Amino acid sequence: MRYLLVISFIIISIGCSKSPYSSLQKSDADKLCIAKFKPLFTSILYNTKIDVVGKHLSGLLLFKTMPDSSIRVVFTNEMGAKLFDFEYRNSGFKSLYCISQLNKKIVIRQLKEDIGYLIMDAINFSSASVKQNNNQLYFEFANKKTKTYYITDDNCLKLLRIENVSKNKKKIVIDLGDYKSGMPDSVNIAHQLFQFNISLKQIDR
Amino acid sequence: MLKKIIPIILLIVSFITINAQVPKGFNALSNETEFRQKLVAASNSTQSIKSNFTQEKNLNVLSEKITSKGEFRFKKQNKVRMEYTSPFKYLLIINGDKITIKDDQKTNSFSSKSNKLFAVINNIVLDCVQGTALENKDFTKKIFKSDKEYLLILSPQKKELKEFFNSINIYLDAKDCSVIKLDMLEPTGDNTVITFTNKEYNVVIPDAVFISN
Repeated sequence: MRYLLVISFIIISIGCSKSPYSSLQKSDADKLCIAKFKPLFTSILYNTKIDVVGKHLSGLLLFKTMPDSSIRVVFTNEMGAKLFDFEYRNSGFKSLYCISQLNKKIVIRQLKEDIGYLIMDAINFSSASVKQNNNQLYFEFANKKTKTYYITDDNCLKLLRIENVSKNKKKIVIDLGDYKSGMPDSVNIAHQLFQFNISLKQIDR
Repeated sequence: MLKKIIPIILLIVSFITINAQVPKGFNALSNETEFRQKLVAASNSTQSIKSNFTQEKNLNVLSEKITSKGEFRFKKQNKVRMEYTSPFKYLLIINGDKITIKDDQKTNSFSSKSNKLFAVINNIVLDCVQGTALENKDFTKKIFKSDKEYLLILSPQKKELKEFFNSINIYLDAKDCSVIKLDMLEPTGDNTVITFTNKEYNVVIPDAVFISN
């Protein structure tokens, strides 16, 4: 009975906790303004650190726009061994190569989504609804299960971060540095529900 | 008529196939004993190596090349330090079975037995500098020679190695059997070339170099 009371209290507390997005107000800002932040690049190389449930690994993440406008994202370790090679194109996503240790549906889906938010893959910009709060604009893109917010300053001059939200709880927060060569100079992808962090820093070549 | 043509075609095809197996500029080695003796002599006379290296990762389908540079150190027995200095910092130390890797955030140490890829790289690097590549049972070997170089082609036998490499090609100086470069060819068509330059032999290298702080 005591446990039932505790569990009920926790459930009620969670249910009543205020969503950070409930205070967002509608904004009249131009919804298409966010489109200018879609990364445009030829080839960008990032020094990459991944921390996942106590394991740390590092390597190089290459983003390349191919002549047919598709985007390839290749992860190698520092010694040159290729770990994965993903392709993003209008017709869909493909994992072209993945080492067996990483080649699990859930891992690929998560990496695909994380990288997809960053390169603004398959976003219909005209479907955005724009909200505001604390001098920031929230460009909301909703799909069946989650909402993704691209958050800028109040003049839509700087893309600050990306937040992916499920049932009003933050799932993923992506902090972005200033744009350089068409992509953010630094990126930090932090999963909020389990320990999984990816940090990227552009390498000058 | 057809009966006469078929053997000629087969002969031409087999000739092309045989030649395709010999890399351009190289011939099949006529005297393997001499090569083995040179390799052993070079290994016996080498106590330490200090050099620079340049690594080129070629992502051929993407027409992309990722170049990095660093310093290489080897000391008998089984001690290797590869320190990448540009355009990123990364350190690999092999000290016997222990492998330590250090990026600009963290240091990880583990046994080479617990990581297949590092175990392969560990063995290849050590085999190259210690002259024991011909003894490695994980690979079949083919040896070729040009005027200036030997080419040792190692093809993996085990499934877990075939996932990473089609072959590892080791280019050795024909004079002293020192390693000029390693070319690691992947099944996807990509390859990684590590070229060693400014080589110095038997210089004093303190053991502390092979311990990560």
